[in-house]
Amino acid sequence: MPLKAITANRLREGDVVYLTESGLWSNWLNQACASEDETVQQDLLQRAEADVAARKIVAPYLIDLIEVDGILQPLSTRENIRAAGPTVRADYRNVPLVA
Amino acid sequence: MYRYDEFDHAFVQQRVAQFRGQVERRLAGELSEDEFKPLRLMNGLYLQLHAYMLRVAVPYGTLSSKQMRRLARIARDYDRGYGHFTTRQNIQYNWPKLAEVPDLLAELAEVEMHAIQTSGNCIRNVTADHFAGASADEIEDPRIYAEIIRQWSSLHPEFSFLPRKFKIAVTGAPNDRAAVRFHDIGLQIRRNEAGEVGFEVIVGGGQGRTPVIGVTIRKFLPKAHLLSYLEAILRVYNQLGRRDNLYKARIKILVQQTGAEVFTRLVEEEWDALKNGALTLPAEEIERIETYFAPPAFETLPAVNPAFEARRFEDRDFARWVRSNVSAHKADGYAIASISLKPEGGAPGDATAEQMEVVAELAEIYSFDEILISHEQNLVLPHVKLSDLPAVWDKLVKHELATPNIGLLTDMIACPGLDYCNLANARSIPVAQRISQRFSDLNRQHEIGDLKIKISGCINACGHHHVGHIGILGVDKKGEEFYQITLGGSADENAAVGKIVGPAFSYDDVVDAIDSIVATYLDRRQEDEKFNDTYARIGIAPFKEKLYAAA
Amino acid sequence: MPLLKNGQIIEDTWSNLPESANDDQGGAALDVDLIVSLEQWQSDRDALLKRNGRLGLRLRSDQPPAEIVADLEHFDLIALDFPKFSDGRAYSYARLLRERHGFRGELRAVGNVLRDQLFFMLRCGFDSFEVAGEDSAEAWRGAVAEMSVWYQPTGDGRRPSGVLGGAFGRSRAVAAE
Repeated sequence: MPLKAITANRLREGDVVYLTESGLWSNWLNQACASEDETVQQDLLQRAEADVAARKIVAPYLIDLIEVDGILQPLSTRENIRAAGPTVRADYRNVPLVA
Repeated sequence: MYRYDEFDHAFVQQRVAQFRGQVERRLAGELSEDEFKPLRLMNGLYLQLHAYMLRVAVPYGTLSSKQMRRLARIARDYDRGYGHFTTRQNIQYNWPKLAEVPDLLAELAEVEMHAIQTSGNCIRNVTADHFAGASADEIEDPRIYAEIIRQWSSLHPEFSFLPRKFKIAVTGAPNDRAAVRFHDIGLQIRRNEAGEVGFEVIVGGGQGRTPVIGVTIRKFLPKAHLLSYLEAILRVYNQLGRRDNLYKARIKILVQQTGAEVFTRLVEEEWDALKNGALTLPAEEIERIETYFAPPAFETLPAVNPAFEARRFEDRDFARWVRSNVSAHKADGYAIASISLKPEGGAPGDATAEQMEVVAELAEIYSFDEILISHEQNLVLPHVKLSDLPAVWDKLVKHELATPNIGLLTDMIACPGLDYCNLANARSIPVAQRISQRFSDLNRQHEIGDLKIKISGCINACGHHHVGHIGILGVDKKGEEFYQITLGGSADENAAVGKIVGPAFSYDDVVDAIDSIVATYLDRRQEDEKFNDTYARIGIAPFKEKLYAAA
Repeated sequence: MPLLKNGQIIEDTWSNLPESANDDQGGAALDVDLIVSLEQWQSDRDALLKRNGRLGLRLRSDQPPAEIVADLEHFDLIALDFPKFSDGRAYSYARLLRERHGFRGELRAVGNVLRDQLFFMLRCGFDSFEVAGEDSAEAWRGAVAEMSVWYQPTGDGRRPSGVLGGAFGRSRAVAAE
């Protein structure tokens, strides 16, 4: 299986987040819990759905990643833009809304 | 400008309180996302690629300085310091937080603004000519009727769950700047043979994945019957529009499938039953709304102003700006000044909070406190004295708002595209940025003349690519961004849908392709011939030959 | 399903005739108030008219009331279905029944009826609502009270704000004369 992680948006703030190993949600893709194991991926998705029910996040889904020199990168243009912000102006790039 | 009465105030405030309750229910878990989604959409709140996005209506594109300042404050306090003006005279904020949106809406309500019906399958913000009230070619101010339609369409009990979204545009001038043939309903103010003023009613236009030019179903509708006729159209559509297929649910498909003649008959039959009832507009009510849009107290001025002429003679940059960005006003000694939100390398339609405040100040001092938003994503100061134009320009220059490119190649429409939008297949804004850099030579742009390039990041066509002289449509090919080019479209009174020129171009090659098309045009045009005229005369083949010759 | 009427959750005295029922009317007693589908009405019309109980008609959202205008006098209730909250055809049907065809009986909204739509439904002429159980009658009453301003004249006789306020008053006056 390809390397995958879970992304979603925080319910209250709406910002893009990734599910980490510890079960928290981070704004930084590199802190995401990524796995090639389908069982682990499904487990992550279940944890995410529990957090939907707990009203922490909305719309979770799995994204495809590659790891280059220890850095996680999304495969698709769309997910690259979600991870780093709009490509249109340097000062529009993502800054964390929630520390 | 229209001012809210006590009922309008109560209406928007109650709506804010209602949404506040809905957000509380969502955050408390009483509403699921599936249940909450239609409620937030009815208040203009999307969940986009990066965050929530709030679309605020600018009814018929008209703002006071106070309202523009409030939009700036909201950009600063609730967002990241900028906003995006859209092709439907709305402004979008890209990063508001759900929990704060009720407060944001309350701030809007204080200045008589809202986000009601900027999304959802309902009647959307009614748009109008962006030179309304100022242009010399106007029969009547379309905003009088846009305001009347705004009232009638706000939370309409029968038409809040239509098969699909519904867009209405009104223009009062024969030169169509509101794209009335590309709306679900387009209203063109006309004078009949008896000299009475009424509406030509156009139905079933639209873009999206099936671009259609609207058809006239009534050549002349007396003013008093405006709302009963609209209600008849909407009632036919609400009952018969397709609900089984999202892509066939717009009224244009209903008109096509029933046939324009049958559709017209159904509307007229429904109208016969509604006519002369409670929806009839009393002449004194039309007059009452008209007074809100009465022309400001223009001074009696000579048509020529020496100081303005002198500056134009001395200052080539100013003269160039006047040539592209200043239009004829109906009053002598005044002009319409367009403010370009398309600087070289910029994101079309974006304005920072500081820029909004500068425009608010200029409007307050020089334009009777009035600002208009164009569907081409620019701002307009509608009533500037010729003698004030130099001062206005000087200030605009300081804030990167004086790009002299209105109507020219780099005055592109671009949707937010894959940089912001959940639906997009490809980026739009960076393509616009690269084109504007390639054609940054302003003298060359002025030499090329009027040329409309419009860019959409997906088939939904929010960037109006179908009606660009040159249209660019972003598509996804196996995970890569590609761009399909169309030629010959037009949104004005010569409405036309562009034709695909050939295979799509990669992100890297698309700017060269535009360059090639422009080169063919310059090479083949006769004297001052417009792009679409050259295209009509020589056809698509010469463009194609040059574009694909190297391949 | 709980039934909401006049701001109260009340007991529903009507029964639906089961779809599988044939000419014995599903065993329903002759004096029970019975709601039938359009198909049942069309196939069993004579038998249904012989009953003592009141008769109601249930229409799907793809069954415009124009089809049964001539039969309206036989029905004390018409139930209009919202298969999904987003299918808004029945709003038009309700107004046509009330405002054009003069239906004065109970107009019931059934199906996916949500609290946030109640206001629209009331204004279109519905006066009873088959609702899901989660919300209290108080919550429903609150939903109706959220908006006190509207711009459209409808058959509910309430005066709108804005440009049609004056016109509405006059046309009512003319109609009353």
